[in-house]
Amino acid sequence: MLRTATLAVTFLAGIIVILAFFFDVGFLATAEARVQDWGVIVAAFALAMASINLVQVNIRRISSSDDATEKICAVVLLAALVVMSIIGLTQGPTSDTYNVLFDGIMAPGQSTVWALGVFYISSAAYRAFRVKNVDAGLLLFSSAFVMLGAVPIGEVIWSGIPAVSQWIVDVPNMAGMRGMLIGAGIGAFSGGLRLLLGIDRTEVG
Amino acid sequence: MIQGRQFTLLLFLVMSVIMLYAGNYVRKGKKTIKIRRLSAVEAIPEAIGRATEAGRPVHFSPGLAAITGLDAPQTFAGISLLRYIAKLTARYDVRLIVTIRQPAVLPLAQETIRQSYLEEGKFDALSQVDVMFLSNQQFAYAAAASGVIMREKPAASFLFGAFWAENLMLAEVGTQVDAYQISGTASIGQVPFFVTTTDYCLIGEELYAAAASLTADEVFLGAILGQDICKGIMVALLVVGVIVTAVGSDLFVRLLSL
Amino acid sequence: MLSKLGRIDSRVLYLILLIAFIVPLLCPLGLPMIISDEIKRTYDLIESLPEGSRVVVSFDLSPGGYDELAPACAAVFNHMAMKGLRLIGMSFWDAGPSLLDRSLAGSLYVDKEYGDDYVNLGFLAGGENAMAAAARDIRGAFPSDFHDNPTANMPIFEGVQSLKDVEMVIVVATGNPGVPEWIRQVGDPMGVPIATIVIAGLVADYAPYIQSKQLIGMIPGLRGAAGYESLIDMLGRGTAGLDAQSVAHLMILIFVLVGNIVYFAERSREKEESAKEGAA
Repeated sequence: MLRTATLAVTFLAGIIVILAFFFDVGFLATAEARVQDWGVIVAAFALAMASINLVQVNIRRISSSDDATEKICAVVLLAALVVMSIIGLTQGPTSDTYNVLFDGIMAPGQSTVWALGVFYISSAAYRAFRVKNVDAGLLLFSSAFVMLGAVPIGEVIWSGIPAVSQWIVDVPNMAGMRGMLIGAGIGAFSGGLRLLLGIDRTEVG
Repeated sequence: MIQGRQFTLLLFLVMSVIMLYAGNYVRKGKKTIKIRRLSAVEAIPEAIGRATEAGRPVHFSPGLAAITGLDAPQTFAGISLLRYIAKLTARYDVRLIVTIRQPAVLPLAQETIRQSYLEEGKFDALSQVDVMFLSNQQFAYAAAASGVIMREKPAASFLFGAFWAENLMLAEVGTQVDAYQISGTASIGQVPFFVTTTDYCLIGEELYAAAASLTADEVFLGAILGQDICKGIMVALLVVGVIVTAVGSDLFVRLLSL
Repeated sequence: MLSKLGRIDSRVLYLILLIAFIVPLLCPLGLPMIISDEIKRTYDLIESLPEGSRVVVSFDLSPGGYDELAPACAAVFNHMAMKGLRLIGMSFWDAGPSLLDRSLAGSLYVDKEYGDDYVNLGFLAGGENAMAAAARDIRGAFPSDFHDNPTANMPIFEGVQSLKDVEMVIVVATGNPGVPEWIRQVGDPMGVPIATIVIAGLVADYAPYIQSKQLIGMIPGLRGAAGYESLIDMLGRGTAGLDAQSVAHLMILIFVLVGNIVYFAERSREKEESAKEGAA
């Protein structure tokens, strides 16, 4: 019964949005807006549920882990969750305290992790980018030109690098990207259609 | 009818009919579909076998996309592969760790694993499974997932779904703990990173086809056939469009703008 | 020696790269600027807008990507402020509004009037659905702004009902929802020109949209910031960081080259050894 209801709601919501995309009929636009509003509400509830899971996992870490560092990290995480939630709810996300914590801890923390990516790229480049065959050689050749063409030093090394780099991005890269985009788009369309019609029941478990 | 969407509607209807017809055609046994060998899919049991021998857990990430939007099919494909992997981990008594970024994916993953363990008759073993929501912030998730991989040292790490800039980080950390890594994504820009850093990689549509090939369901396989027919139509439209436009006619452009 | 090089600890590579970053920041190389057509087109479009035009800026980015995009945002915001354009800011990523406030505070908009010359509407949950709702009815989707001010009577929204009524959209993006969603919900159906400030890693992904003219312009990361700063003649962090980026790109290619030299040398040595063993 629950499964049938889930599939019915999936179909109804999907068909409303699809029809509203093609037909400008008053009640369809209203229905689509309501479906989108409900989507936002469900997303908010999902976030609340996920937060509960986060708390459960970290309490389990505190109580059962043998690693002191792991316990400390779990305590810090839970404390941060509680503090940010209280400040956000009581003082709002535009308050000075919230901004200090956001600008002082959260934003720099994420920037740091993002910036670590370049170091991982360097170790991957050293370890894994091997010219084992012609394809790998072509890949290396084109990536070298694109990397150097993206920065001024390329033009200093050879004035033709930016032009070659632009050609690689505009012609072979574009052709490959478009092909993959079309293929992935059709794949996504097929997946969506299967979900809409209840052929694929992944979302009901 | 909204102006400028008639051709899109026509294409939508034609593609829908083709996919449904193809699915039905295969289901009635009128055609046998064979999907070409996907090495990544064939390597999954091997990876889990290694984890069993080593006594180490298995890590899975269904990607960073939600269950709405253009990347949602990648998430669903990842969840389909999770179903298969969960069955294997249940069968071989291997601990499964699933790290989640999107809150809405959490109950989906939990229910999928529960169903898989039930089907394998290993309901009690569910206590060994850790499904954890880490963060809905991209790099907070990346840092937390990296931490999970470094601490738990999985013997196998599966990364199936939509990924962005953090995929290299996850794959590199997996390499550092000597994990056997199998990945799959239709996020075009991230494919090169997975190809170079993981042992096997499903590229683009292979991710969707993998999910279908594992179920061996005729309707899924028929959908793959339908997709290939639709791709043929797209190629035909491209060729005709290039020729028509090259001879100086704007008929094709006007047709697509209908 | 070669085998040691092949097994080198990753931390040595990290240290070399770190030094390669720091040196140009302390001693700028003064390399020449590249201004691509996509950057120029964005500049030209903003330059062509009459004073008082409304431009929507969508901050769809994570805090991690903000530092790469902040210099470009500063340059574009300064250009818009100098032209007297009115900025309607919004976000479909939860961290976006705080980051937008930070960017606005560091731009010439700080001297302008909030609610009339610029506004930060805040975050709307729901991804592409939320975008569609905002595209249809901005004030309906955002009844109050990020600072809890009601939007109903804000002067900046006079004559603006939907996004059809704005002159341009600038999407500052590090992922999804982002540029493709904006093109689908606003660019194609409503015909509003869209430009983007985007991280370097997404340039290849969005290049097809530039070619099909669904995106008017693209300002990629630090390189785009440096180019835009030179166009508006206000050099800043983009220009300062570009030398470091140049050297970093070169270092990574050197790592690849050295890695391949080691690989081929070891392969050749293994072949020689197996040939000797065969002969023996």
